[in-house]
Amino acid sequence: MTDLLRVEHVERHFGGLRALNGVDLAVATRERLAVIGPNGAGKTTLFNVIAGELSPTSGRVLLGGEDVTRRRPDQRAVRGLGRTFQKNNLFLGLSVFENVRLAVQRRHGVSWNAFSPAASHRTVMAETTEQLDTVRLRDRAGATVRELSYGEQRQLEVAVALACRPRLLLLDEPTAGMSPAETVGMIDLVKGLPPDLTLLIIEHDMDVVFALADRIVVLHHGEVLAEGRPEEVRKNPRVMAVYLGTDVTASGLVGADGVKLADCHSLADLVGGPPIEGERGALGP
Amino acid sequence: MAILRDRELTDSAAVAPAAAGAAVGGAQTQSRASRRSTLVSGLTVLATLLVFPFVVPSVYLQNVITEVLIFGIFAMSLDLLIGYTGLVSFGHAAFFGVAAYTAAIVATRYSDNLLATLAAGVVAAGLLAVPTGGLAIRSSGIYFLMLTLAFSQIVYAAAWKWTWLTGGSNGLAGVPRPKFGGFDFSSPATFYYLVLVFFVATFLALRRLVSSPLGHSFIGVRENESRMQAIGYDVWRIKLASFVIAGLFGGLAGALFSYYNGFVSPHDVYWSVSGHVMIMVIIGGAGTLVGPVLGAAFFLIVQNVVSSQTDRWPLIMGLAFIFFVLAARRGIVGMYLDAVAVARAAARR
Ligand SMILES: Nc1ncnc2c1ncn2[C@@H]1O[C@H](COP(=O)(O)OP(=O)(O)OP(=O)(O)O)[C@@H](O)[C@H]1O
Ligand SMILES: [Mg+2]
Repeated sequence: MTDLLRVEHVERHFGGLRALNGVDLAVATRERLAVIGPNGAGKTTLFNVIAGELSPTSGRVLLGGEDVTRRRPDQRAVRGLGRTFQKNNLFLGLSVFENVRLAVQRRHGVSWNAFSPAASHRTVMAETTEQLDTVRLRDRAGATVRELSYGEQRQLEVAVALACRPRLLLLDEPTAGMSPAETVGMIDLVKGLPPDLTLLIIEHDMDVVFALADRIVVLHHGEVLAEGRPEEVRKNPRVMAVYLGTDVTASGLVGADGVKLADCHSLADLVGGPPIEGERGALGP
Repeated sequence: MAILRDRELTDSAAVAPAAAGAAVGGAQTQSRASRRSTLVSGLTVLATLLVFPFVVPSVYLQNVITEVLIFGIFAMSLDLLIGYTGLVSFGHAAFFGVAAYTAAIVATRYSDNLLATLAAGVVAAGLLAVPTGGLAIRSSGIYFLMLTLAFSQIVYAAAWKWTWLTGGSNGLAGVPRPKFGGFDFSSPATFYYLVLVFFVATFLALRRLVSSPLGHSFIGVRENESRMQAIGYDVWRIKLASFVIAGLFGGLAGALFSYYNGFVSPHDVYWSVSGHVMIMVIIGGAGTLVGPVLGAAFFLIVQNVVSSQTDRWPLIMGLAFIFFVLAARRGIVGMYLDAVAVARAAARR
């Protein structure tokens, strides 16, 4: 069976910075893969290269066996790639309904119709409502994005991506900034996604990672530090070193690698280490 | 002027809630009521425009309103770019001027048939819009603005230099009013009706366009290009479509203007014409269809009234423009809607 996604020797430099430094990755159809790593590890850059927002300095990206390295983001989206953004990237002045409807109408191939009102396309309208139901935003259909709470905007971010019915879905920290209740809702939503959907998720919250992922890839300084099943990664000494390096505890706030303590809080759960002294006092809610 | 409620249907921010209401239920009756009131006010305005030449026999006023309708078409076409697609073009006079010249050349040399001259003008504008738009939309923001300006100045230079075709600085005089079947549209009133037909057709076509899936794609590009790409839209093609459609309707206005004026000169392609039509869009209210028409009316009526009193009218228009940019960014339409909102709030209390 061919992999749905292959990333081959991808490098991406920003000036002198090697944000991605030779990443190889293969993702099989139906797999649920979590990409984790400290801040600045290159996770979002990797997503941007996979989705086509950034072109790699070198290396290739293959989607369903096809080399899409030179394809634009929209061409990759049409081939079944959907993504959400770490920083909300919505149609701010438009309603919740319209945000999702734009994705649905594209998939139905009616976006070039200039002669009939958008509201007259019954299947598009019905599917939009359905999609809003799945993320529990149906009541908010008429609100503009600006009127939504942050958590609701995160939900809409996922809804817009799902409305494209992708084969491969990239979620960039979908629960970041969400309340615990909203986070649980998001986990349920992702668990309930069709089984033939292939998922890559960047997440700092380890509860979410363990709830959703079959496999974990750890990025560090633009390189794959470790990968494997969650239990394996949890025990990996190199991962433990990165997340619970002595510098972190010593300096109290920032580790040698620029790892912020805020992330270590959740990542400490990953390696099963004890809570870091003074951590909650310093940064807790 | 309840037709301003039309904004509720044409303005992007409001389109979607109305649509959502229809799907979600609850707001259904309300949206039907607002649709009916839009229809009623639209028909009222149409009826007023239809009886206008009978009620107002002044040829001068008939000409002013004819000009308002022509520039209303022109301003609506530019608003498709500025207000709906978020492409601030500063070269829209190119399409107006090319169509005006083409229609005038066909009318003076070959045939004064309405369809022949009009089709030639509109097709010429469209043919110009494809390559210039295709190049200009590769850039964005200020660079897009400068490129469109540059292209329109090339057209302006061509109008000066190609004397054999354009008459150079003399322009093309003696453009006849077009003929169609037995009609010759030579009286101010008959010509007014001809322009009114095209105006209403343009308004209805653009209204349908901005509420269609393609129109919503334009709005999506205006709101967030990167997300449009991420959900699979070829943003370049959508922008080009908007540019060409705007060019075609700008061309329609230009062709009508050449009959109206009976004379075409390089002045009609000059950048100041692009500036004037942009001022009309912004004063009236970008992102609506009614706004640009009101902006054209405001601009031309002020121009006519003030320039008969003083030659300082550009100063006065400049001050008015500054007022709108600083104090009323949503234009005349926005001021009206704000006033309605205030009145409603007061009535509720
Ligand atoms: N467009 C850009 N230009 C310059 N540098 C960039 C750009 N995008 C990312 N970087 C840098 O590349 C590195 C990797 O960034 P990236 O956003 O991929 O990290 P990340 O793993 O997603 O981190 P986080 O967990 O904070 O989201 C960082 O040092 C970042 O500053
Ligand atoms: Mg990131």
